[in-house]
Amino acid sequence: MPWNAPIGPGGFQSVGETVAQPPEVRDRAFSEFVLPEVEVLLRVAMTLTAQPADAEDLVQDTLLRAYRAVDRFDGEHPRAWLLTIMRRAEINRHRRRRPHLLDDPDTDLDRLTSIGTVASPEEVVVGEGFDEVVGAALAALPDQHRQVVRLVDIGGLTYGEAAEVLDVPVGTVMSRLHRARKRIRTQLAAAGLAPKPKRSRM
Amino acid sequence: MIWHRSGAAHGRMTCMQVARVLQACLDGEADEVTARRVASHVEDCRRCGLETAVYREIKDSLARQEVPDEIVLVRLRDFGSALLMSSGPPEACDEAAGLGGGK
Repeated sequence: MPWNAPIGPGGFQSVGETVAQPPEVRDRAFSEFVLPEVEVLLRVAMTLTAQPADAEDLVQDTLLRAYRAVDRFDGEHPRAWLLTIMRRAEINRHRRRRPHLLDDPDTDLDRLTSIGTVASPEEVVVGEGFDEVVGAALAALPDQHRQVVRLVDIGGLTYGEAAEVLDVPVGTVMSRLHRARKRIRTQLAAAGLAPKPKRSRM
Repeated sequence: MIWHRSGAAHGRMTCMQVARVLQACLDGEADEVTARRVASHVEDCRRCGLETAVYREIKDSLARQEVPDEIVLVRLRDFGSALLMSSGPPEACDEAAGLGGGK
């Protein structure tokens, strides 16, 4: 197999594949591009998986894949590159568990995040603190909106990076994010913790 | 950059224009010119200033909602560093061997 053969559907290269660079080069690239991103990877993984243990597994899987592929990485936009690897790893993990969910990764991700994270809107009670109301409002958001918020505000991703993870256009990220925050703001206003929104459409 | 100047390229931005780009500005996704024009509008306009404060607080609060477990983070950093020291994961040993072994 040539060194630059396309990575298979699961993102794994076959064992024994010839590589282009000696291990020192690979190690240097891994230290430079991958290791500094571990925290961001964990934050993003938290938004993609339902359980903390799954998030840790997903990051490990991503690190392994990145290590194998790093000698063919051109050094441009390491975070975006890693997020693509993570997305592929997550789809693959999911496929192994639930083969019937092959066709729509977006739906898969939404389904994943909907497990065990939903709190009812009734939990928004007047008198609660700002963070509590925001947390409850976040939990009450539609899955797709909550996920974008988590990627950008909790994960710290740019719009472009979030679009990469979700495999949607940047415009979709923006509209979901902005509408989600507006909704959170409405909940805050209802709890008396923020002024009522203006009439303008944002 | 996501946002570009639109409409009145010179002069003051309207509240409506500010509202459209405010969140992108807070996210650091607006271009420099737009960010500066929004900032100067927000300084003078009490209502837009209030809007800005609310969305900034929401953003900050969201960032506090889920903080990664420090122990997990340390474990993952160790896992990443271990990949280096072993010249690759067990599954990749054959690749390393093919190049004359690790270090």
